Parts: sequence; structure tokens; C-alpha cells
Amino acid sequence: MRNINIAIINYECGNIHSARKAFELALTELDISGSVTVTNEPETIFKADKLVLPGVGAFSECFNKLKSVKGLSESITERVHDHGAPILGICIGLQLLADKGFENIESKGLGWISGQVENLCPDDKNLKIPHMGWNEVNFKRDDGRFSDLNGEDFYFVHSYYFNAKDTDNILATTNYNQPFPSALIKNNIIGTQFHPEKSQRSGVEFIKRFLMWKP
Amino acid sequence: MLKTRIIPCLDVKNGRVVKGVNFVNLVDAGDPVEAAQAYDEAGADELCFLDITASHENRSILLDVVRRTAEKCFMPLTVGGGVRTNKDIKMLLDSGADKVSINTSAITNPNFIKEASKAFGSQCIVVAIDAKSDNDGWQIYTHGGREPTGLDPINFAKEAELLGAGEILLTSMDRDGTKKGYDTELLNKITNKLEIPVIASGGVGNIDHIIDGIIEGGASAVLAASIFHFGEITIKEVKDKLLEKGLSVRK
Repeated sequence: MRNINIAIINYECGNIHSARKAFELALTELDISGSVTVTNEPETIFKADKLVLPGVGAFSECFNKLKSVKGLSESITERVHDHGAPILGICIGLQLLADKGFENIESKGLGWISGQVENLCPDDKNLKIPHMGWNEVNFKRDDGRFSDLNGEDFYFVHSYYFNAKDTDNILATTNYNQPFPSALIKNNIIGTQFHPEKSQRSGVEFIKRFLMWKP
Repeated sequence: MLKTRIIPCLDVKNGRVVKGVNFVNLVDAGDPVEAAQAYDEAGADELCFLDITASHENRSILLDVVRRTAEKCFMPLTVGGGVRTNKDIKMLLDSGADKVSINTSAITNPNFIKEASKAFGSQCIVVAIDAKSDNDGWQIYTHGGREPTGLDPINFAKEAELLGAGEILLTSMDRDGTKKGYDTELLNKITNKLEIPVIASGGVGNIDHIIDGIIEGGASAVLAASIFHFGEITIKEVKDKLLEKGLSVRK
């Protein structure tokens, strides 16, 4: 089996320590040689086979931080759009793929998957915000890659969600009073509102499927 | 459906688990990383470390414990104890903590809650409130339950939410260590008033107490220490019983 080089994009938006370890474990379990690099350097991103855009924090702050590293978002864009490298956005990393977000202030996103990031506001006042904890992920389409994880619990912590414009981009939904898109997909771009790196066995299994994924 | 979280809490002093953990055959029952891994395998939904090291100089030991735990356990980890500044929070998050619990500093300087949640996001800021009942209600105590503050925990919890806390960890000082069950009356008053999740803590002696905390108290998560550490009940037993009662738990 060939080598997979994974770049976890570090733009100072949250803890990437466990993401790195979870990807290393997934590589080991798949018995694939490769490397997991935490980086903000365009040269490393150009060499990576798979990219991971993690993130916790507020939408606009994360977007500004991503943009503030010289050449970073340009290199990711080129690697993903021109070279077709698969990318996984996690939590805010997923939300940043939207056209815009409304957390605290209206802010532009990368616009890679159309839709906007809106407040989760359940009608049932007994439901708490943030949506924090383990919840089922219902994978909608059977692309033979992720759908065998249908119904597994993953760990969430968020107050905003990705309201996708095109339902074709919805890979999975999760119920919190009403269903919201919990994983999105478009060509070689995938994103999860949940944290696979914090979701124990289900999470490692998801990461393994992302590593094997050939869009 | 969102699951009720079961959270074991480990008291850590100078990098060692206080009193140890006896529920499985651990090589070193005092090693927090080994205990964390055992809880990970036992199906805990989250883990909490409370650092009770007196001296702040030994912080690097705790950070190392957090780092080694995050490398082994792919589950949410909350760390509390001695968190006073944004720098303290940053060091814990950089070491691999997902959430940081702030106790005394949040009570004496509520503005810290605002600063911290602005810098790191509400999702990682847990405000820990230690409450004790008095004549006509409850009041908050700080410094490990030694200093009365005159503050009403119900109003303060709401204030913390408005300042940006993502979660409240409510410990009943009356019940802590008594095995008489959570203070469900106080829990209920707070969970009714708040939009953010509340973790119940202090007093669990059996599984029924956990159920009461969820049903009567309205807690989103339940925290316990000794009953898990001493193997009196297992996380699986708790989850089975909760399922029987029609409550939602992670398989």
C-alpha cells in the first residue's frame, strides 16, 4: 500500500493534539505507512495527500485567523480545487466551508459548499444550547464509504449549524429537536459538525474511511 | 437523540490520582493516564480531571498528564483546578484538554468568564459552582468550599451563562461525599433557568441517585467519583439501568 501524507492545518483555532493522534492511530490500524503533520506552511500543504481543517472557536475569528497566515488559504484552495486533494473539515473547519456565517457578526466563509452557518434554535426549550455530547449520525447516502457507520454516536459541541443550500451536499443528519446536516460532502470536500477525533471508536473508524476515501 | 453523559471525575495531586482507582486491574492505580484509559474502555462519555495540587509551580506535571491522556483517549476531557488566567486556559487546551473548568476565579471575577469565552469560545468554558444550603436557600462557596461568598448559585449560574459559559458544573457541598444523592432541588432550579447544559455533581451513592439527577434535576450530564473509582458500580450498569428507565445513553 502506498504512503499517505496527512496535513492537519494549524491556524491557532483550537486543540489539534488529539486530531494528530487519532489520525496516527487510524494509519496504524489501516496498516498504511504515512505521516501526520501539523502545519501552516504552504510547501507542506502542497505535498499532502489528504488535508484536515480542524477548528473550535467562533466563526469570524477562525476565518480571520485562517486568512491571516500568509499564503495558507491560497495553498489549501489550490491543493483542494486544482489538484483534487481530499479535505476533511471538522466543526468550525466544516462551517468555514460555507458562504457565510452569522456567529456574533455576519462573516464571509470560503464558499466551497453553498449554504450558511446559522444559530441552532430548537423549539423545545428543554433542549440546551450548545448541543453538547453524543448523538446519532444518520448517513443519508450510500456511497459505500461512510454509510456503514449509520446510526453510530459521535461527539458534538456547537451552537451553530451548516444550513446547506443544496440537499445533495448533505451526507448525514442528526436530530436535535429537528434534523440538521451533521456531515456534508461535495466532490473531494467533506466536513463533519461532530468531532471524529473525540468520538472514540466511531471516530477512529470514520477517520479510517476518510483516509481510504477516493472521491 | 442527544445522550445523557456519564462523567467519571479523577482528583489529581502532583500528577497522581488521589486515593487511586480500584475498579480494574491496573498496573499503577495512581496513574491518571492509566485510569483514564480504563474509563475510556469502560464506556465513559467524557472524563474530568480536577487538579488539587496546592502549588502552582507544579503545573507542568498536570500538563504532562493531560498531554499523555489526550494521546491515548479519544474522548472529551475537562480539566479544572487552579485556572486563573487565559494563559492557564491556553496551556491546558494546548496540552489536549477540550474544556476547562473555572471555579474560584469565575466567582471572584465574573468578567474572567467573558474574557475566557471570548478568547477560546463558550464551548470550552465550564463554570464550576460549589453550593451549600443555608437558612432560606443556597450560597456559593469558593476555595474548595471554605469561603462563603453570599452569592446565590441560581442567579450566579444565569449570570455565568450570559457572560459566555458553555456549561455549568454544579457541586452540592452538602451532599459531596455523603452518598445521599444529588441536591435535585437546587439542580432543578438551575436547569430550569438556564439554556446551557448543567453537570450534576456531589453525593452519588447509587444508580437511583443518578436517575434522580437526570429526571428530577434536569441534568444534561452526571459526574461521579468514588462510586466509579471503588468499583461500587460500573458505567455499564449505570447505562443499562438508564436505558431501562427510558433515558437515552450512548451504547
